[in-house]
Amino acid sequence: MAYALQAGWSVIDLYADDANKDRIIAELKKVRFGSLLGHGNKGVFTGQRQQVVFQVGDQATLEFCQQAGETTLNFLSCLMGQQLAPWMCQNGLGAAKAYTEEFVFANDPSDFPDSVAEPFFLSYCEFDRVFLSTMDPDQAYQAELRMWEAQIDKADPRIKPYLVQDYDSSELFKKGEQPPQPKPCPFSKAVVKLPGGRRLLRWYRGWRFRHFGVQPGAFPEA
Amino acid sequence: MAKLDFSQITDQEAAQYRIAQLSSLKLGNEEKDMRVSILTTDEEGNPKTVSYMLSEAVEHIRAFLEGKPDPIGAHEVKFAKRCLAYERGGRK
Repeated sequence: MAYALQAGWSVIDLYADDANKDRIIAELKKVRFGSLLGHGNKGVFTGQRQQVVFQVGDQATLEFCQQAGETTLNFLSCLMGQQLAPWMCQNGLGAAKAYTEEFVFANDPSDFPDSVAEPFFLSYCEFDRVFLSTMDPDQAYQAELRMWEAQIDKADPRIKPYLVQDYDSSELFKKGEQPPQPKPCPFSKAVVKLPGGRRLLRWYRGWRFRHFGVQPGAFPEA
Repeated sequence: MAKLDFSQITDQEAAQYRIAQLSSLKLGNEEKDMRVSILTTDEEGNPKTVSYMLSEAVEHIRAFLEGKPDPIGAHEVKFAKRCLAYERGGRK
């Protein structure tokens, strides 16, 4: 959020009880970019206390997508790249980046924010950072992939397989493009953490939603 | 679409790779252990959580290889397949 503010964006941060379906959808209708962190599955994305926010076939989700224009969303959530993200783009959402399998991360609960957790969130946030600079989902996605690769190449062997998993399942969907066909996955999501990382655990279990509105004149029209 | 091609890597090969990796780490002694949690939802959005320590992973992987239903072992093997494919440059 600090980076977005410094870059001239206005930011609305919906957290905990503010992260409910009505508010999320209402605020997203006003903005160009949203970064969304929450639990999910193939066809569903949830907010605080697992309230369903977006779901394949849901009327409110459909209406949001139909009115979304060029809005880009970056989801940190399990599995929804298999169904929900491509469905949203097929129904009008400009672009959605999502994970086709479980988003896995490691942390050291005794030492947060720690160097173990950092590579996962640096990589995810690279999409946000580059989109805020370019307003181009393709550039943002490629930058995220390069960040994953950089982190994998210097990774501790304990966490390397999890970084590779996230890298391999990160996917960009766009309106008007045939969605890729990810392999079906029989597993749920895995999160890895070292003992003691309460803050990161709270970050992840609590539901956090950010989205960004552009300041007039801050960037040229895309 | 997945970027890595791990179709030629067997469960056995991936499991041995991860077991060797984890066994060499002395988790809980010289190396910090990790807790692994599976935090997702079911298809309707209801919470679904599984947790384990990384030092227990080898046991789960072995159980999976023996054909026992072990989702933790299955996860570890799946992740190890991708990691092996990445290290071998197995891009699609």
